[in-house]
Amino acid sequence: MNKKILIGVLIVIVLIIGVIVYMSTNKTETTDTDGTSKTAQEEIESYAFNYNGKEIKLGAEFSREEFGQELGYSEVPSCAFEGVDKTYTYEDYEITTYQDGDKEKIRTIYLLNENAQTEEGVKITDSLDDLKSKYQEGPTISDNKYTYTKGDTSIEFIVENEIITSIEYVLNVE
Amino acid sequence: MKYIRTIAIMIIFILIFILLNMLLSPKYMTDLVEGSMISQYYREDKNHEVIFIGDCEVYANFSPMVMYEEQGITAYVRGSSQQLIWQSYSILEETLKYEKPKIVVFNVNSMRYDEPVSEAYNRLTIDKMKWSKQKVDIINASMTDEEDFLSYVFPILRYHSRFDKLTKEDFEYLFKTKNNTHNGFLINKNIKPVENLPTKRKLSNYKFADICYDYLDKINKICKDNNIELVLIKAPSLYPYWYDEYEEQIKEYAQRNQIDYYNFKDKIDEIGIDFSMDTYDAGLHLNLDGATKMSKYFAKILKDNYNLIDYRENEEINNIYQKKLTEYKEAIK
Amino acid sequence: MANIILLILSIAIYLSFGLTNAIYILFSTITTFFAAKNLNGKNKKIILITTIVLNVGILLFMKLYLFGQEYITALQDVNILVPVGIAYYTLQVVSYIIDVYKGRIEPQESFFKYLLYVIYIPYLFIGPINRYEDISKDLYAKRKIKSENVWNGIIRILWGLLKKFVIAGRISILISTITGDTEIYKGAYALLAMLLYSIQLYSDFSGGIDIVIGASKIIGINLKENFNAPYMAEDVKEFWRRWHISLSTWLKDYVYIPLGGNRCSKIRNKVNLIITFLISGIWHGIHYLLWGLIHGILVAYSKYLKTKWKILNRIINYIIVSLLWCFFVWPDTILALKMLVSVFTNFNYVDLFSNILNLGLNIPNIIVLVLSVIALAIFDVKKEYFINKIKTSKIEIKTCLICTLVIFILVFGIYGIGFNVSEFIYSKF
Repeated sequence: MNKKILIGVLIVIVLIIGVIVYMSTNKTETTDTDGTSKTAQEEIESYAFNYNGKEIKLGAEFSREEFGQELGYSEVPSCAFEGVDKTYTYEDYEITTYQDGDKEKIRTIYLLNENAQTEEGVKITDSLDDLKSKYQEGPTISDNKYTYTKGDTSIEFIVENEIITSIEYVLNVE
Repeated sequence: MKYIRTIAIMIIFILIFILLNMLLSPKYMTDLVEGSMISQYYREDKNHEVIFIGDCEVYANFSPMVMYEEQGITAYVRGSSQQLIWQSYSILEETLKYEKPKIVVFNVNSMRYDEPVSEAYNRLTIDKMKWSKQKVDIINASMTDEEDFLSYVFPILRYHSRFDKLTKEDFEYLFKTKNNTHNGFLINKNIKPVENLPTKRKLSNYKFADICYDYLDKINKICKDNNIELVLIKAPSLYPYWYDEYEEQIKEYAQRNQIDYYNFKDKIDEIGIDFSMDTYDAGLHLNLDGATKMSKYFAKILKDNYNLIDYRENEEINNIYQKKLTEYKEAIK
Repeated sequence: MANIILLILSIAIYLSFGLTNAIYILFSTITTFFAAKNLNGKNKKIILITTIVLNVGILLFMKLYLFGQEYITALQDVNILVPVGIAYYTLQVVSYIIDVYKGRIEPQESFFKYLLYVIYIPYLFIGPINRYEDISKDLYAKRKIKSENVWNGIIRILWGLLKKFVIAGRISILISTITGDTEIYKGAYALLAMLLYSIQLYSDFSGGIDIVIGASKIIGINLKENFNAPYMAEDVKEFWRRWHISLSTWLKDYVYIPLGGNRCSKIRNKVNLIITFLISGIWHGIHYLLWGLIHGILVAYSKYLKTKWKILNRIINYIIVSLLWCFFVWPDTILALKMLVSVFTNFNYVDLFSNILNLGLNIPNIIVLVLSVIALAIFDVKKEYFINKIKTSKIEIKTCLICTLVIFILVFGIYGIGFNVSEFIYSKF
């Protein structure tokens, strides 16, 4: 009699643990995208910029060596405070960074000409219709700026006379 | 008796509370001196004919001491870091309680900002202001979402976590203070030449916000009401970019309201500014040498075009200014 | 009159969390109120069971819904509002109806008086779970505000705030650093996080209870204590007699004893214990089933973990309880287990000591933390003594104490912009 109860309890325990483990593994699989484990709610989708097969991510750590010699470099300090925005200009795009603790991270990517295009295939000189066909989900429009947001990243397109004249990736950090 | 003692205890604690508020607030004396600029004015003799208002582009670029030495102009710069236009207005309003200058010079750079940039800048401008209607206005107009009014009344609410960062400065300047500027001009002797500037970004909208125009109107009106001549300027900074679209709007506004407007960005060569030598942060602000050139140039414009008195001939004022000049000369050595 | 104000205030605050909330709490109040009144005759058992099943069913459904939402995407689109305080008021109404059924108390005649018992705002968010028989006398008495109660209540509230803001807030900085990057921070870091979380959870939770007790004290309602120096317990069983007492006794009276308690075979007794703790786990959230289970087993076999030495027992118990909080530190169960395992496999203690100042607190802050934790421990062990001492001290002393507490919290509390993102801008100050 007692043995039966014990066995019953054990089976229940094993089942419960099994269910929990199963559910938890399911969760980690779907979210383990960039090596760090995040819970389901924290999963972050974001826009990334591809250039010559290289993926440049907003908020990622910036290393000058990795990008090679830049064409131009400038530091723009803010008045009074020590924080410095650094800008690195390359042939077809320009990166600005910010300081997060002792790490330098990418804040914006500005596309300089039609040699650079977004992951979804939009470049400067494309038409507004191209933009609308390649980006489905509705942008927020202010004046002639079309902003598409994914997670904490956005792409801002400026459209003049139905033609895209400026594309910038922006990380929305405080 | 019981109540008297209880009240006495409460008073003692209120005093401790006030003292802690003072101790934990930043003093802005040896570090981040930009925060002490607004309050230095309260200790000055108020006899200025020219008052500057605006952001860092005024306090870094215009030296009243040079203007006095050159032309005998008595000027004071009531600038502060990232001074937004509604802050400029309140500071002007406050200044007019103390004195009536002949000319108010406003640097138009802040027209581009229609919302507070960051809490930290608000603190630099507001923290050390005297309490007045203007201070209340300025706080209400400038607060970011994360701020609340009470933390300006009781700085301890904002700065309590400084308890572990207190330095000698906090004790040394608990009750006393010192002057960090020369009539509002902050000396910077460093040189950092302009090499590269970020690519000029396109903006979706170049039109100044309505709120900025409202305050520019207010500044214009308060000057008119007080018989003060308003002069608009744009300092010769290379960055942040002053777009042509901005320039057009200011020109149009000045013309419509019959205000004089000087854009020194177009006069860089005439003034003699060399951006490989005359800037301390690669084109944002002028250093001492640059500011000296700028101030001489502007002093001459003011002297030639406006009815200003040469105070070098006024013995009483001249005595005061000679003393200031000696200090200034000492400081720029 | 004063009670009407109290009721209106409670309802108003409760409604401010949304109108839908009100439907649930009103449902629970109405069902139990009328059921309790009609608990006579031959149908009384059916009425009792239906009412309990309905009320507990809603709570269980909410818990399942919250759990399911994290795993099943379809559920994420279904938005069900989980009413504020449901975990607490459900237990209160269930205890009420069972007590009426057992004849321990008379059913309340006035609906509004009963509503006050359910919705009385201070305890709706963090407990304690009150029994009708304990609280009804104070709750429905003629309200008289006594200055002595006010002073003592304020002191109690401030003490609670101090625990929350100075201790819990400070520890949360360390813990959020550690949980923020599970790749770097494991092993010794995980152990540190768990040991600290014990203190954080305790300060935060008991601090909240202090505020509830203090606020009630001011208006003349005496609530029962919910904690009794829990980390002074020598085994897990004793821990549960000292931790969240109102929940433990509720579970004991309405789950464990009805199951048969210890008046049955040894094995059955242990099974009862385990079931009770499983239910405790579900009440905390379906995630915590495993946590409840382990606690149940530990309570059932707690005597085997005891040594002869009191202090050693306390240390062992503290470590065991802390390690089990891992399910609360890392809400992801698998991750929590991984971290738990890493404590025994990843010996990076040297690394931890060299890096300890980079976790978010500098030396002055650590000193403040350590001193306040010591003060908390001393106060908790001698709680009775201190409470009596304060009660009987002169008003001048009380004023001093209040002012000191206020200033201490204002200076050393973790609140406001100071510790946020803008901190790095201000690091120069």
